[in-house]
Amino acid sequence: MHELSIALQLIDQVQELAHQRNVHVVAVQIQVGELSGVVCEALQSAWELARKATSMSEVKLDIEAVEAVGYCGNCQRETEIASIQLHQCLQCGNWIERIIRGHELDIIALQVET
Amino acid sequence: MNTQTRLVEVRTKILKKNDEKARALRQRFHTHGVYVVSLVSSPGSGKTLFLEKVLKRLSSKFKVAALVGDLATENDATRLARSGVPVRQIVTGTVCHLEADMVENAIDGWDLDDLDVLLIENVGNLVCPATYDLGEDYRLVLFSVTEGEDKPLKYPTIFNTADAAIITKTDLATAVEFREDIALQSVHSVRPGLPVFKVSSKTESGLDEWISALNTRYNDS
Ligand SMILES: [Zn+2]
Repeated sequence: MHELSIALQLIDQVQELAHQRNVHVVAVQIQVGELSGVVCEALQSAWELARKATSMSEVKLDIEAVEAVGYCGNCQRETEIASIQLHQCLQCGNWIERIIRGHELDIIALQVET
Repeated sequence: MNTQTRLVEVRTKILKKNDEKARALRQRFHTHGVYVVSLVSSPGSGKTLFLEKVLKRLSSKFKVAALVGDLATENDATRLARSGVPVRQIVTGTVCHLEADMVENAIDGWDLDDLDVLLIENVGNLVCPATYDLGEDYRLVLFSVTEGEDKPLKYPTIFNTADAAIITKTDLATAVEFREDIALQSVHSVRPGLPVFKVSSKTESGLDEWISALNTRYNDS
């Protein structure tokens, strides 16, 4: 599983951002897409483990799971897909043309002390 | 005592460092005219034999080299080196996937101007490699007829990030009662329109079709 290495890279990034902005971080908000290849629960556990020996041992991780959204050429609009195993438009049943959301692995915001 | 907090928006990629490195690598490969193909699969899908046959065929037309990612042993690289092309091993230790900086380190000292095609074999794993851009132009996912038709449904993410799928060990298809129609349905259910090639590295059937597809991509790049 690669969630631990992702948690370690996340800690690096947050420490760098905190340093640049000269802030004390309390919590980190991230988005994890359904198609990112990362399991939210595994990442949360990896975070608890990875933060221990760092300056961020008290920092919380808030994970927002992002559902996959595709573009349907038939409906000519964004659509939910049936599942990540079934890339069909939920409206009309056609195959979706491309994925629009679901690959996210992003840091969205830091909750910092004022 | 409760401290007051506020939100600072940052909006950045968690794997920013890998993404930036991969982008720089891709740029560097393009500058030197190197086309990069990466291969991902489960262990035992026949990836190394496929690579062995592909290297042999490509080397008559292109200047080829290969990088082989592995958890520990060096067997694959030794085996591939017999093809006569430059091969380097990337030993990842406990890391279950390749990252862009491993690729950068592994090509250190190679004259990229003396290279047309670089093949990168990822660690045998269908989960973790999906998340990491290596700077490649063409990502292949391989699965063998012995692994079952529903492999794509179990690992949708890797199929979703691939540019083509290769079904390997087709010489065993009849013996294991492999249903090609169901396998194609599974691939296209997780990735509508993904090109699929059927190959037996043993009998070499289907290899030419894939090589000619690679040629087309190479010429268009
Ligand atoms: Zn539709």
